[in-house]
Amino acid sequence: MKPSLFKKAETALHLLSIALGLYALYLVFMVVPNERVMGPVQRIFYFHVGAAMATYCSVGLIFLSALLHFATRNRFWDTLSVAAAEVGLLFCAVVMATGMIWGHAAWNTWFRWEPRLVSFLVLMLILIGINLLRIFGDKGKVANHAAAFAILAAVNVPLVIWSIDLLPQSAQLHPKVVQDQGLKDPSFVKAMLFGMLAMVSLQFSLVFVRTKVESVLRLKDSI
Amino acid sequence: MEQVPNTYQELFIAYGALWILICTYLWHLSRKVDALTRRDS
Repeated sequence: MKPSLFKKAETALHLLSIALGLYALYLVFMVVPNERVMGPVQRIFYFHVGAAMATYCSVGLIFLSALLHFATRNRFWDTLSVAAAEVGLLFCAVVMATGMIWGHAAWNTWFRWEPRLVSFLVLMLILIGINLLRIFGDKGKVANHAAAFAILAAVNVPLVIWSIDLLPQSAQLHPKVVQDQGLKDPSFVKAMLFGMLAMVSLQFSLVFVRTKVESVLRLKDSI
Repeated sequence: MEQVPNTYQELFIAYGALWILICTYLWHLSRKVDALTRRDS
C-alpha cells in the first residue's frame, strides 16, 4: 500500500471511531428506553457486549498473526501480535469490569462460578499470560512461545461463546440475550450494533497505533 | 413512586467528551510516532 493511501486509511479509521462512538453514545443515553426489569443499569450492556466483540477481534488478530508468524517468520506478525494481545487484555478487563457492575446491580453478586463467566476469566488469564511472557520471556524464543499461547487463546473463544449452552438457563445468571431474541425494542438492537461497531473500530485504532509504536521501539533496539 | 428518567443528556455529554478525548489523543500519538520515524530515517 502507498504511504499516502496508508495515512488516509488511518485518518479515516480514527474519524470513524469518533463518529461511531458518538452515535452509539447518543443511542445509548438519548434514544433507547429503560429496560422493563433492570431499568437504567441495563444500558451498561451496550458497552459490555461491544467490549466483548473487540476482545474477540483482538484474539482473532493474535491468532492470525501467530499462524502467519509460524508460516513466514516475518517480524511484522510478531509486532502485530504484541499490539493485539495488549489491546485484547484491555478490552477483556473492560468486559469483566462492566459485567461485574451489571451483575452486582441486577443479581446482587459480582461473580459466580458458571461456564460463561469462568471461560471468559480463563481467556483473560491467557491474555495476561501472553503479556507477562512478553515482559519476562526469553527474548530469543518469546515470539514462538507467544504465538503458541495465542493459538490457545483462540481455541478458548468458541468455548466462551458456546459455554452458555452447557447448563440450562435457570441454572446460570448470564442471560442468553441475543440467542433468545431478548432485545424486543428495535432501538435496543440498533444501539447494540453501533456499540459493537464503535468498540471494534476503537480496538483497531489502538492496535494500529500500538503496532507503529512497537515497530519504532524494535527499530531503535536493532540500531 | 419515583420516576426514572428515560434520557441521560449529562452522561451523553460527559462520555461523548471522554470518547473524543481518547480518540483524538490516539490520533495525536499516531502522528507523533510518524514524526519520530521520519526524523530517525
